[in-house]
Amino acid sequence: MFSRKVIKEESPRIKELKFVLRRIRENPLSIAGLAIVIFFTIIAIAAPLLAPPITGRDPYMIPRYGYSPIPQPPSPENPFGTTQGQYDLYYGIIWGTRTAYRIGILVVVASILIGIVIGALAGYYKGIIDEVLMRITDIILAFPALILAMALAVAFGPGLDSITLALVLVWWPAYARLVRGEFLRITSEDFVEAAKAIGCSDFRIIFRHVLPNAIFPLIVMASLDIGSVVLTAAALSFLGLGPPEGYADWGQLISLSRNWIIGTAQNPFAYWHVWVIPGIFLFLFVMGWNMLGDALRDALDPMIRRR
Amino acid sequence: MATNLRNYVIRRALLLVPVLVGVTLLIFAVSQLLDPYMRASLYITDPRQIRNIEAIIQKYGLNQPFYIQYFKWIEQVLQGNLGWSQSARMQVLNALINYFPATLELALYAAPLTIIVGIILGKVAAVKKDTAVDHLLRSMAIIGWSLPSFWLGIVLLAMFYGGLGIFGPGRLSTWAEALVLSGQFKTYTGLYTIDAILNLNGAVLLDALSHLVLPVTTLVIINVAVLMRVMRSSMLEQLNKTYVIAARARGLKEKVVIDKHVTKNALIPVITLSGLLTASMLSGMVITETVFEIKGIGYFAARAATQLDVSAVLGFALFAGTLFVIANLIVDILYAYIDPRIRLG
Repeated sequence: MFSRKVIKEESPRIKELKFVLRRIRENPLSIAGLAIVIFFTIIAIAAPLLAPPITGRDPYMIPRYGYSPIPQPPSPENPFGTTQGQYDLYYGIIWGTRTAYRIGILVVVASILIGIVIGALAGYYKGIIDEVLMRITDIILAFPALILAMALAVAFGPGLDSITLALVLVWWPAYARLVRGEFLRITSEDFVEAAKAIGCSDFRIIFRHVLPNAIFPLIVMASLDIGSVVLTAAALSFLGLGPPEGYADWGQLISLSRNWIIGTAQNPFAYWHVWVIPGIFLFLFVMGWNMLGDALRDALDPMIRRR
Repeated sequence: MATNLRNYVIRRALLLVPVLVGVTLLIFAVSQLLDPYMRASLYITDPRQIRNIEAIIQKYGLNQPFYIQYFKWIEQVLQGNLGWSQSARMQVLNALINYFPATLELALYAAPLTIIVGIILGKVAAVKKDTAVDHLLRSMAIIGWSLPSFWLGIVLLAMFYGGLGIFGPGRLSTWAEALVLSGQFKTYTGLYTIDAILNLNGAVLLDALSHLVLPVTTLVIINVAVLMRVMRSSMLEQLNKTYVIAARARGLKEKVVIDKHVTKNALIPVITLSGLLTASMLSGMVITETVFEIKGIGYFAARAATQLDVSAVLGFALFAGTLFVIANLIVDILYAYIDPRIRLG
């Protein structure tokens, strides 16, 4: 009797959340994805403990042990070995996790904020505002993301900040389109009409009534985008548009390995560590986020989940 | 119905004009981030003009309001003047034309292969939904989707070229390159595999093909995942429709139901993606061409970017954007041809 009463009193939102959580728990990919994401989050948070920086130096600059171009294999002092130019690969990987998170979160959060403002304006007020804003997003979306980001990064001049800004400028239209679509759908519902009828301000309707109902698709898209943003940023950095040499950044560490793909005559894989290790970390990071985002989408999307 | 389709094509083609204006406006906006001295490279056709940069600034109104600048710039673009590329030491338009065959050749093999593999895998995953095969394919899709293309290229090069000594970078081996540049080999298209066939030279053909193996593999692995997913979910959507039940009820064999009825309908959303995929490959595979040192327009753009060769990068972006817009047009027309409902919209 007691348990039945509890179920009866559960609000639909709690029921929905429990259903979603069960869906996530039942999917092995989501557990694996979550584990990978937690692993990288711990590395990023504990970076100063895992790879203590030299005091008084920018912690993101990788310490180097000499200037020899030839990478040194892993040793007890350097668990992952050194790269071309004797940069400490282990240190670079650990602090590179922070760089990846910083750029991934900055770009996604900034894109969401711009997307919400633009998408809400377009989807709520409709008409000419909608038309103008959406044509702007159309034009940006007409370009391949990497190519437009590359052009912008060149115009801003190379560097981590310029990559971040370039990616935000390329990424926000997708969020604006998503928010606009949700707004168009939600504003046609009765409860919005009712809110208008009792005299709520536009601001209140947008932020208290409509936006909370559009939050799930935003979460899904954001979680799926962290991996893509980090991947694109790494690609730009690999091309040489990223931070200066020696900065803890996975894309750059991979580009430092380009001259060492071919080993020595005796051992074709003599320098394996310089291309295997940073690549594995970047790949796992992106895959973890993609798996998590994928699982979230499966769990939250009413169109596909009950199939 | 035929006039309907024609009207649709005309209406859709007219829409191309404002979109292309938008694309040029965006490129122009990016160029406005630069100071006039850097922007001057967008207008010059000969490096000697650099010496008199003030004259360029005066002539094209680089210190005047932006709308005047825009029209002066568009005038040059329409005449085919995209400026001078320092990194390639030639005019940007000539550079794009010179570097394009390598990109075209790579896309010619990679795009169809990706599309075919994606459709087949997606179909298998849908038919075998929730079995081990489906789970395996979906896990592989997530892996392919998460792999950094530049890293995959490096791993493949290290394994096959470094480890086994086969499938080297570049477009041809040194001996073949020397032969192609000599007078004995006639260049028809700039696509070495096709030129080799036209020259009846089997050795060069094999060499060119062997250099394509790794970049094409990289592109297929990176791009196939998205296509497979779309095909899978599109198949599942169609499988739930009543016409499938009707077909089965009529006693059609399952193979016929899948191949003749479901697959055909499921292919429709895949067309968009295939069109965009082809456009993205033709617009230069910046990363893949850089890793494998294939001198296509993506390689050209990447090298220009590192040398801050602004005119080359912007010219390339303009080219890529235009290509995408046209690809979208072709996809839309193709849709209208396949699905009559769209023409009425």
